[in-house]
Amino acid sequence: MRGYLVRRLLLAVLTLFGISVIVAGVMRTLPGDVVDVLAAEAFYNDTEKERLREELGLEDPFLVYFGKWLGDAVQGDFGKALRTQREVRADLVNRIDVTIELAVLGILIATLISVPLGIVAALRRSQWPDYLARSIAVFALAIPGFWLATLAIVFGAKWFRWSPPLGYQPIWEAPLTNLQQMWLPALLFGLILAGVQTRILRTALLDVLRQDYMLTARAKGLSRVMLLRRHALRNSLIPFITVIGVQFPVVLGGSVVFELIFALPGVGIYLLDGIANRDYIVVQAVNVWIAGAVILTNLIVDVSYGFLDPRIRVSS
Amino acid sequence: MASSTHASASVAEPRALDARRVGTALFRVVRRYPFPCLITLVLVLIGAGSGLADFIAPYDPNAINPTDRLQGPNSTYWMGTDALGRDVFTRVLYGGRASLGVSVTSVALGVMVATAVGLVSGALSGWFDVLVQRIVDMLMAFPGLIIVISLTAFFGTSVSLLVVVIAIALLGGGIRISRAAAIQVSSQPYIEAARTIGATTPRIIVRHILPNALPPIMVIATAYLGVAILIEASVSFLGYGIQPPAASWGFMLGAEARIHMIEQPWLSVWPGLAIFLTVFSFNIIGDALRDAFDPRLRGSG
Repeated sequence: MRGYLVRRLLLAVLTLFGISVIVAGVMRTLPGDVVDVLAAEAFYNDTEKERLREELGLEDPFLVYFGKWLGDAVQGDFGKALRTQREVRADLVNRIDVTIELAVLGILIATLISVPLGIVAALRRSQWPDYLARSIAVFALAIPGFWLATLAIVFGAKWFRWSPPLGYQPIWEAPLTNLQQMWLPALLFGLILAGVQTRILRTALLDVLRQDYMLTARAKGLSRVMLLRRHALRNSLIPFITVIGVQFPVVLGGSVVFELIFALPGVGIYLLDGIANRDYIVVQAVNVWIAGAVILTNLIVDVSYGFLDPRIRVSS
Repeated sequence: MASSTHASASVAEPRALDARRVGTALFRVVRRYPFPCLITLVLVLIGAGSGLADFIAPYDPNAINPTDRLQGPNSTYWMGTDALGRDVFTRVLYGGRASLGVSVTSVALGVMVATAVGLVSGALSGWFDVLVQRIVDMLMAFPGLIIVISLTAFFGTSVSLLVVVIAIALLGGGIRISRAAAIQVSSQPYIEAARTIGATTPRIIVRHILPNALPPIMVIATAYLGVAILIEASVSFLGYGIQPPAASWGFMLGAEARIHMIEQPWLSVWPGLAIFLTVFSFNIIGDALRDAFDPRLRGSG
């Protein structure tokens, strides 16, 4: 187990390093020069251009530039935003909680929906509850998140004279106001994520229900509830946890759209602002942060296998 | 579409294409899989409507008609009009052409590259495989939408760039699937037999591994068509995809249109419905393909 953990950790660090090279490198591969692009839009004069080139390290050879960038990034310092001249780290820290909260609530709601649906579908295979659950899942899979959110806003206003409250409040300062803002985006997000989760849980359960040990457990007289709880669900956990890990990038990507539509000041909005301003520093930082979050989640998922399944703990 | 017509076509092919024979085979497939066939028909209609938009569309997609602005569905404008008085039905057709064009091209590109890399990587193992796996790890760490919109910040917005970037976003998963398929096929006795009689590695990959690894790749390609449509629509929704005045489903739901949706809610319905129906169809066909290729999995997802 320890060897496995160490190997996973090393791989995660290696991957993050590779990602840093790519993210830092993209700016250098631009045809021409970032500063020219910026200057064309913001009417910099030549001395300002020089200062900017210096500040961005574009005069240095790539390795020197990358070394400096990585050295700062490791300490959490992603530099100053080009347009606002604010510390990227401070801005990012202020926004991370919004995105994380949306992601966690979304996955939580998706789990609350998909677990009963998946169980019912597997236990009543090829009967109407199964068809119903599968139809819901297939629908959820195909609905674009931004469309669902747009419909909620448009018809919420039309039919109920409701509009999402503005002025975001962090959950630890004003939990009620915060939840008033968050419940709808989180619910819609959860509905969409529930599609994949239901399908995976159903498949995993069907797989477990076929196993010989289920027959044994039944033969020794275990009740259906115990059978489900102690054997079936527990053994279906691994694919289920895996899919939550795999969904995490989807969640972070989808969060951009939900943040925009519901006016939540998260990392996604920060990225959109960065792109609109052609603020390369911000775009780089957000990308590294997101990739880091995804890698960390995958690492946690891998480690959790060991806790969920003793066989994995022993064999590795 | 591929599952049913393909199967029937390959049955009938050895003889001259006998219309009646094909007809019976088709009928059998339709009777056996009525729902996927219905969905295939829906998709064919969407494809034909978009592809033939120039001939079908009742109006010019960019014809502005301020006196008729923001109408609901009626007999003149089947889906109503937008804030500039443009016909929404026409724009949904043209939007479909853009969305389908971009997603089909990017999936073709992405899946072809992913298949080539994945098969070689799975068949060769060794250092190349390790390298490819590390690259896949990196690709998989970026959400598709984030890759696509971030790169537009650096390289600007253009349709060809959009295609390439969506292809890149699909690469990680595609390589993973085709690599797994190649590894599975490689352990089969007929690969060993081919090696024993002296077939070279490239020949084994192209002639033996590729055809046998194709089913899962076709399944993932169909699923990816849906994913690509969703990515393209999201990116266009954010304003970084297909650029106006060209119509696209995503942009029709975007910030500019949103201002008028309270006044004319139908604006928010049609493009989303088109996206949903298309993605839904691709997913259903993907599932049907998977069932057809691997009957053991039937009804398991």
